[in-house]
Amino acid sequence: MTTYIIRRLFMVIPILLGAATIVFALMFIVPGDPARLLMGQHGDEQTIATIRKELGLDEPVYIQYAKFIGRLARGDLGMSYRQKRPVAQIIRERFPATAKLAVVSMFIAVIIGVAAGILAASFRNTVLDWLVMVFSLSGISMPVFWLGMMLILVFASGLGWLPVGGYGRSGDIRHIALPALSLAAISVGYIARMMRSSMLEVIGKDYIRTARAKGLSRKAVILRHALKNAFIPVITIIGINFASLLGGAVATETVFAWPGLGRATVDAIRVRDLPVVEGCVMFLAFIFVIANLLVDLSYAWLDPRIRLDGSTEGS
Amino acid sequence: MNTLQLRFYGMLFFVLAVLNISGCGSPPEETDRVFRFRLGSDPPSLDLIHATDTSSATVVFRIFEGLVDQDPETLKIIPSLAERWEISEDGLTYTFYLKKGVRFHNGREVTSADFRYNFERCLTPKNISERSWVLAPIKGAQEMLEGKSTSLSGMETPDDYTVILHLEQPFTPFISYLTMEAGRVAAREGIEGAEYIPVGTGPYKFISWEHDIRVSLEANEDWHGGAVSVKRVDYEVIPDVGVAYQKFIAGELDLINEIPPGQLTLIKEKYPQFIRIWPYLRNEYIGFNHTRPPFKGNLKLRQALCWSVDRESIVRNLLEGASTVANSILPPGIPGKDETIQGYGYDPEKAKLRLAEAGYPGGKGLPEISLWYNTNEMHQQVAQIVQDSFRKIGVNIRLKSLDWPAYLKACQSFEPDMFRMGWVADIPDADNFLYILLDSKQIGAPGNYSGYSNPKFDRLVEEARVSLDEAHRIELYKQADRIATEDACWIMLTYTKLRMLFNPDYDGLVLPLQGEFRIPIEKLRYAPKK
Repeated sequence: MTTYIIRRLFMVIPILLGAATIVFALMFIVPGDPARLLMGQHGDEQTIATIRKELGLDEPVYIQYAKFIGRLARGDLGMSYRQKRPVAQIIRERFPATAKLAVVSMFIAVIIGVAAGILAASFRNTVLDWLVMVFSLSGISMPVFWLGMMLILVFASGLGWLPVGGYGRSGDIRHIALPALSLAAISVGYIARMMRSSMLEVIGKDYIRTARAKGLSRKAVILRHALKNAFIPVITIIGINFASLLGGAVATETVFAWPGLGRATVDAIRVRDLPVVEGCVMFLAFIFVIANLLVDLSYAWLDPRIRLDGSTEGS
Repeated sequence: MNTLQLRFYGMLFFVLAVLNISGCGSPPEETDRVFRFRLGSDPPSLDLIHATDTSSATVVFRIFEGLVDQDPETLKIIPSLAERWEISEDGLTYTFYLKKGVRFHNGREVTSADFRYNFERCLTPKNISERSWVLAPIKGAQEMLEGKSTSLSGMETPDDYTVILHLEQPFTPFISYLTMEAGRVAAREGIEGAEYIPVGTGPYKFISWEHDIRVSLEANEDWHGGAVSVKRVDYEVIPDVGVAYQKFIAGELDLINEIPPGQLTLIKEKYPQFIRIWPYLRNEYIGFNHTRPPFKGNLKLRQALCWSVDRESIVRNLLEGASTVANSILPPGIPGKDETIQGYGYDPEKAKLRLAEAGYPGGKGLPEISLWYNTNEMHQQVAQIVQDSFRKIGVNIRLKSLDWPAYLKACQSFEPDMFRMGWVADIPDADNFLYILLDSKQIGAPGNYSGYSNPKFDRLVEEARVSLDEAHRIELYKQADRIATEDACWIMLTYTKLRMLFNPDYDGLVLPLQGEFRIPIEKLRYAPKK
């Protein structure tokens, strides 16, 4: 197990190097001159030339790439072209808001999604099942922008229960409710659908029939025997969803004026603030790698037959 | 408690813990007398040498002051930290006499050395200032920008209260440049610390900046300009205009600097008391590419397209009346604006006639023309109306949109046949439109993206740059504006008006011609109307 974790952690390096190369190449290919864009509307040529030189944008691309990788190797994400501050500081400021939103919305999504999925599977082909499936499909399909706006119109502008948007003084619970809810909608949909299909598969298994035959109640069988086994594919969905939420949710953060990483990244792309874009993408890649690792580790915890060194016990 | 329940409560505890770390359950927001001003984006910088956008300017102009300032309504240059100044007859030497006893927010008195420090900091290449061009007319600035010198030779500070600036050559708009961010003064103590803190002399002091959330300022009780009534201003960063509007209506904001597109008529009916609309120094146009056919050297063709566009319809249907039809390059309010220039009305018959005279009767024989715009709903709709107008005289065009960075690059390298563009004045001087956007020295990246070139026009505009006689300058700009219009250098579309929603419980609102970012908050007074 320990060797497995160490081996996986070593694999982080080539993955991050790959991500770094891709993001560098993409930002190089995308048209737009960062130096010119810093200037606002007024493009004085000498000023642009000075900025290009000072930022090292006048150097050949392979030198820029080598310097970029060199910086990353030293753990330095560089300075924002626009804000003239370290990128690490920008990420540090935005990450708590993003993490808070991700944790709360994931919590909502898991509770509702898992419960809905179990119910739908237990009452297969009934009105309840049908309702859960319709709602989860609409959760997945509804544009977050629209849903966010609707929630604001109903709960904030209409009923006046919650603030319209913003982080409040410190992102308190009244401010987080609506963004978390609108962000959870998509995950609820995915989790419920996955939970349902996985549950149905498990319920059809022999050992479930045996448990029922043994005289255990339907509830006990589902909650104690089926749930844990049905959870493995759901965990994957949760892990990946959670990782992507930790990378920032642009639309939700924009609608609710939430100061998260997604907004920071997209704002940086809009003005070609390369170090910020690269830093945020590297951070996201890192989170994904770690999330994937945790998901894999949780398989072994949920199902002792799965061993992470490659072989499967008892097969 | 079984393991599943245990895990559930464990997770619940984790969520609550996360919320608690960040201070859940803090007291309700104190909104008493705090003026809440919406910003569409987090200011990229509150540093004078880096601030280039309106979000930054909105905040920076309240914290910092310069030698001179500009009256927001009359646009006249007025004293600020300098109580008076002299300009030599040859237009080369500017002498400013500082007010005595003006203090920075940290209590230290402002002296001429502070101006030297700020100007030299701006011109030092390693500080990567986006605004070094503002000070570039000063003698010795070039040497500094090229790294050949570390001090500004054209700046003299003979005593603590005198600043003398020598220019390389006469440049009349220079005094207006000094009202911009880079002409203002910050205390070096705020700059040289571990983290940058904006410390100026203005009516408001910096308290805090939570990125992407808000910037908070408090009144400077010792301000040399007099008492300030509004004690605290919070600049709230709300990117989405629809949400900003909902927040305003809910009473969570006092000023929003935009109105959701297409909602003006509705809001006018429902909340007329909140709406403020006023003209500002901005034009919208579609540039022709003068560097290659079909527009190069074909005046008749350009005129044909100018006559074909229904600007009234754009103003009425798209901009909901909150703009005016443009007759020439310069927007109203700029000294040198000539209202008698006829411009181009909407006359499809005349357009067809000109098109035939240009050698393309009914549009026959024209190569495929592209009209580019930067991705934005409003720009797209304008482009579609223009496309439709052209079609009515037989000219078919292709539309193309790009995001701003890519678009700007394409325009600078003359890729489009036609392109949409708008310009907001940096300073209230006709030079800022006519020289920067149309002089042949500015062709390409510096601003003349259409490649328009007319030696007669250049002569007038370049003479006006150095002339010290205000009346003569205005005459020169009137002539130049007329020439460019007659040349059909662009299709002039509209002069945009600013629209905002404002809490009428505040008295003393001044509507600046340069834009809402210059609104003097220090002149507001809270006076509830109920």
